[in-house]
Amino acid sequence: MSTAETAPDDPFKIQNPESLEGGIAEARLKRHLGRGVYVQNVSHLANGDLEIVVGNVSPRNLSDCRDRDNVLKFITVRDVYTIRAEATGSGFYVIDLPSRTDVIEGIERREEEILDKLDFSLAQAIYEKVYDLPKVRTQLNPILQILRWARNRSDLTVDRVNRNQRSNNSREYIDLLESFGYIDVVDRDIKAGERLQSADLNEYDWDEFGRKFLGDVVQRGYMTIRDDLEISMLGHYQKYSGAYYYDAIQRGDKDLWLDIDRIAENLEELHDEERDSYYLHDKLGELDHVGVIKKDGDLVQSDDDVYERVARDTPTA
Amino acid sequence: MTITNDDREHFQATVSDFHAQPEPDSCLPTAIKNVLHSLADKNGDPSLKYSISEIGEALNYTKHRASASDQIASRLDPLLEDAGYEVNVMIGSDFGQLQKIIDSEKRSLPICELHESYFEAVESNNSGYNPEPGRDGYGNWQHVVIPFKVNDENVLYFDPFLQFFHNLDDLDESGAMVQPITAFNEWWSRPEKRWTLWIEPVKQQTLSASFDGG
Repeated sequence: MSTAETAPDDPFKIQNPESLEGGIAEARLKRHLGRGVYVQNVSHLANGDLEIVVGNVSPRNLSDCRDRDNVLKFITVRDVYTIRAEATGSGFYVIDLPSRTDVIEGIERREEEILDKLDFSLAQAIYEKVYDLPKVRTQLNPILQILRWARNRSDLTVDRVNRNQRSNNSREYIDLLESFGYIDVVDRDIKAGERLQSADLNEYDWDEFGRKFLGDVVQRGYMTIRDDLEISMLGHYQKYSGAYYYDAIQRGDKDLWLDIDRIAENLEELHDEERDSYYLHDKLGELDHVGVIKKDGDLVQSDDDVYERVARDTPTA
Repeated sequence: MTITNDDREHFQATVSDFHAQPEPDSCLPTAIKNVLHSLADKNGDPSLKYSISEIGEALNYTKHRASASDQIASRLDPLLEDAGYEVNVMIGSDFGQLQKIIDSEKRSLPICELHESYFEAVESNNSGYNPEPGRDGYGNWQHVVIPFKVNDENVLYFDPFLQFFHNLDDLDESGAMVQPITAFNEWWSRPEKRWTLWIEPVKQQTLSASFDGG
């Protein structure tokens, strides 16, 4: 769809800055920029000009799929664009009207930030649980293998890792582990780094060390491991749980029930990913099994602890 | 004078053909599509029938970003001119004028914009859906509704959000909202004074003249 915008012929002048907040000037901004755009804040600058920060609201169907309570929530995104209004000195201000396209880009930018934060806080909240899923273990195996070799063998080299692993990512794993201080790589020799040496592996087995390691990765390098190392299972599970938690957090209700269809819609909207309900049933079933969500037939609800953690760390505006 | 059974039946017959808005933020393109559609049926002019996405495109509608409604006549008139119709927007209309538009043979039903305080009333009246404010309230969102009947006491109108949440056939009161005229007036008067849009044949005489003439 075309986003070309014709600017009004006459400059947008206002006399009374208060009309920007709930008044006629704001209404005119909304007509031009979109019904959801609103004036969040107006500040008077030292030179007499105005700085107008706009946000955006978008009504969203956040009904509970069990109670069918028909909730229409106005989702807020703050700080999407800053508009200047120049004081002319003759009692009015001339507003430098942006295009609708520019403001929409601002909304998209802020929404992505919020989604990234949701993604990250979910990763932190669920990694210990998803570690118990066999698929996640399988994907972490080559990394844990390098750690085990580095700890137990004195003659580990980069070439040896390559010979023994069929993964194309071995070099990236080694780089990651080195940058995290788990291993030291000198020339092509690999030794246990300080972080690996200090781990008291007598106290817990490698399995538990793997869980601890995953926690470390999530805290310090989650984006890297998700995006660069193609450990898709990590991003995978929190995408599916995120498609539920996004709405629960926005509604501020940990008891919200969503059905699979709504979760599928959210997944498509938030991650541009289309999934059949059979597929989502399976994935959400796995997440229910490890306590990331609660699933009852077609319906999904929060796990209390996960909700609390995600709600605490995810901004809703 | 009250809202009669005839009023309700007429309302029911019309809204049962209304298309539900596909997204919560597409109320304006959907309302325009619906009033055009019923005008087309009334006047036997199918060239006035457009899809929601065609109207949406004219209004630069983007999902979750709503639409633009400045210069609305120049956005929409290109769709209407072949059929000989045009968009009218009036600021400051009164209830008599509103009823006159509704009664007119040639005009579409009107579309009115309501202040966000309308949602508080909907919420507290338990009117069929529950608007919930976000971090900055309703962001001064101006909802559009389609009035069907005005009398001394009440306004009977169609709220598209009801249709978004309910199958209108299952709703007892046929999805109608009836509110006291004083309350409606308050929602309709801010921040722009009683903004009203309708479609009518390209004028031979001005509308204000036709109102003046009674």
